[in-house]
Amino acid sequence: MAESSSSGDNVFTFVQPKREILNQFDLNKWIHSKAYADYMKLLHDLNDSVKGLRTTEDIQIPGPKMDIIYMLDPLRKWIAEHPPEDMGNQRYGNKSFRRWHEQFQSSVHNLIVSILPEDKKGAAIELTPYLLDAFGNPTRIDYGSGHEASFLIFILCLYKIGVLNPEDHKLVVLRFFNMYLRLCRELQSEYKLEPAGSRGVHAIDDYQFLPFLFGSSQMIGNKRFPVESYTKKDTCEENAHVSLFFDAVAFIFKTKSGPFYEHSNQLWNISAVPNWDKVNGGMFKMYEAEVLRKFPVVQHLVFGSLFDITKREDAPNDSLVRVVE
Amino acid sequence: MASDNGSEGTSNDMSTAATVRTDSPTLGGSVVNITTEDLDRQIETLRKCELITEQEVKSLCAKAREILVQEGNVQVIDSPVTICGDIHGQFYDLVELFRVGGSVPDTNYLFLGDFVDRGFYSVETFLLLLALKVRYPDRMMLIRGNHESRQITQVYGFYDECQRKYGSAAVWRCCTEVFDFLSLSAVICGKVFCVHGGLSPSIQTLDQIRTIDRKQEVPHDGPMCDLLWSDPEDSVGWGMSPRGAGYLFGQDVGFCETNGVEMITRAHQLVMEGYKYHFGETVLTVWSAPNYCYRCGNVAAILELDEQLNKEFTIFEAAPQENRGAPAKKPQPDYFFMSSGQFLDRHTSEKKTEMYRNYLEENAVLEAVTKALSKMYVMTERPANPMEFIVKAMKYPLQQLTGAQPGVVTNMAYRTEYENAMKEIEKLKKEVEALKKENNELKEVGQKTESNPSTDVDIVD
Repeated sequence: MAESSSSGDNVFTFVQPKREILNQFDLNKWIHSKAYADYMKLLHDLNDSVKGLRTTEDIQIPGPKMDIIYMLDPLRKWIAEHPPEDMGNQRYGNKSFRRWHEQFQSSVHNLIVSILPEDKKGAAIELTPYLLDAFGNPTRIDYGSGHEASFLIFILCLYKIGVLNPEDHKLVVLRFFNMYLRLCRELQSEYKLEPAGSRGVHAIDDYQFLPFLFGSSQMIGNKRFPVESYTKKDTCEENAHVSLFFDAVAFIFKTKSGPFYEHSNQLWNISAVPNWDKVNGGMFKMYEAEVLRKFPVVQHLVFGSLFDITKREDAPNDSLVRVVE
Repeated sequence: MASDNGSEGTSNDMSTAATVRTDSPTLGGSVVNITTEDLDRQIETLRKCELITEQEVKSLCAKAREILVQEGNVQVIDSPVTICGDIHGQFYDLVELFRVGGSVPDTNYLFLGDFVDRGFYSVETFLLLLALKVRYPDRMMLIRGNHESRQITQVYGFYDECQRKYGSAAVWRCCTEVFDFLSLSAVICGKVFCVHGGLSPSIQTLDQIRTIDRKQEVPHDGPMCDLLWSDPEDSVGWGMSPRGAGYLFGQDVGFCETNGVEMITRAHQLVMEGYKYHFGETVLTVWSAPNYCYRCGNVAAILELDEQLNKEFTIFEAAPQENRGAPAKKPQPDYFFMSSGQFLDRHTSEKKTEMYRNYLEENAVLEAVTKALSKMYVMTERPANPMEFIVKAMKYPLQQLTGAQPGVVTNMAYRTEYENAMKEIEKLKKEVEALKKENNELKEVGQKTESNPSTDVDIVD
């Protein structure tokens, strides 16, 4: 039984998740919540599991886990079924994305149920909103790091109910999350998804954050690629398969125009960091400060019994939100 | 382009303006002297994408506030005028805009906000626009976008950029104080309504906009927020905005008919072709940041309205590479180059002080306190100097603070609210004490360089 593994003896009463971060001051509630600690712990665990590993690393994947990794396959197929329409009088993003998203929305419940064991089917009510929000917003036709976080929360919930276990960490990062990234890039390019709330030159990327975090962990200890090597287009393109980091920068080179220092100023700055260990550590600090603790990003998060807004026992009792602790 | 500011203003306008203090919490309220020569020199410097000094920024901002406070929430503008959308710190593209649109003061401009954030040069962009505004107040109109806000600029880059380029948040603070004075909208020849975002379900008439007290941080909701955040959408009536602020408005909300305007011109949304009509030709989006985020591949547009309000769009692309500046050195972001100890050291003094200030200015506490006080009839308006007010609130009992005598507090129904607000202040006090203590401990350890002692948390005294 799944419950006897990572989910321990936790018994959940599944509920429809709802928003809890309604103003700037609710950030405190979020930062001191169980959800926040669970999320950060998962990030660290995933990060550590791929330290020094290439993306193409040979990983044993048990049969049932294949279903999870390939659960996103239909989503890719639907892109072909809803090709971008003529831009005509469209503003920016292609409205076919809304058709794609409708199809996704009508199937998301079944998709999720299909990977849940019999006694966990009830969890679908909680998992659905996270997966549904993981591929961008159909009204605004945009995508940003909040959507990426939503996918990670979906993964976190799979761990919580025991569908995923600690021994799955590597395959979660290098296969499942990687599949997700590919799908996202395809959506971004096909439908011209607008960068949602991008921080522009102050961000490391308009769309994603986590491939830089996990990817920098993958690079730790390697002898061949010093940190600064990623500022070269050729290096990234030729070695995109080496790590999610190179892969992500290669996508930037493919999609952005102008000199690297200008369009990707933060990455340019970070390339002066002496080693990948420091890059990886910095990515964590940056992710917390620039994504998880920014109200415009996390206001959209929803919480239920798995991703739980309840205050942690060890949470300090203070009134100021601190960017850095 | 005549407008309702300056000596032509009605006595009514002037009396309203006179009651608003332009004092800056940072700068005080003394009269600002800044010569035309000074301004021309600053404009020359900024045009080259070079920085002016912090002192110059302070005077410029102070002067700008003096001018902006005279402007109404609905600026009355005559044609001809050229309307521009979002710029977002894309300085060299702004230079391109002036090249294709004509220079100031030969061309009259109306900028619809979102001068800062995301781009490389928000500081230079905003200061250049502001210097031009101060130099040619009647030919340069700036209205507020949703990014002209403390909270938003702390997320999307302007704050970081000020820190990096000036070594402290002082310039950012000056600029945000100017943001509070920017007008909210404009009407050209009574026919074209211009606003950054869009409409609000709580606004039917222009006069309702005129009654807004705009001299504040952009609120989280309500009419002022909506004007800066809303978007048009092909649907009926009003809808929730997925942005988390503002609304989606449909064709049928009736604003044009009610106010006798022919068209609403707004910015706020990226458009591949630089401009786009919605709802027939009653709503127009103008976007002036070409190749947004260096990736979107969009062109930019500006709209020129001639004397007869005939429309002519000028499309332009990103400034060619040879016209753009070279990179600065490679500064490593704090997250990466400092050890945990250094990181904490740096942030306990500067960042926390800043967080504390922001926390106070971000309105929530202030609003809670002022609301509670005003409901109890001891204070009727928002304090002119929020920082000072909160600092005093921490020190003195209520009576001294407001000048109210015991017994004047009549509406005890709001007692709980007041007490809650005071509790919030109590918590802040403790927090500040803790920060001070921590700061002193750090100093004792002797790790701290005396780089910027004035930014210590001692602001409470």
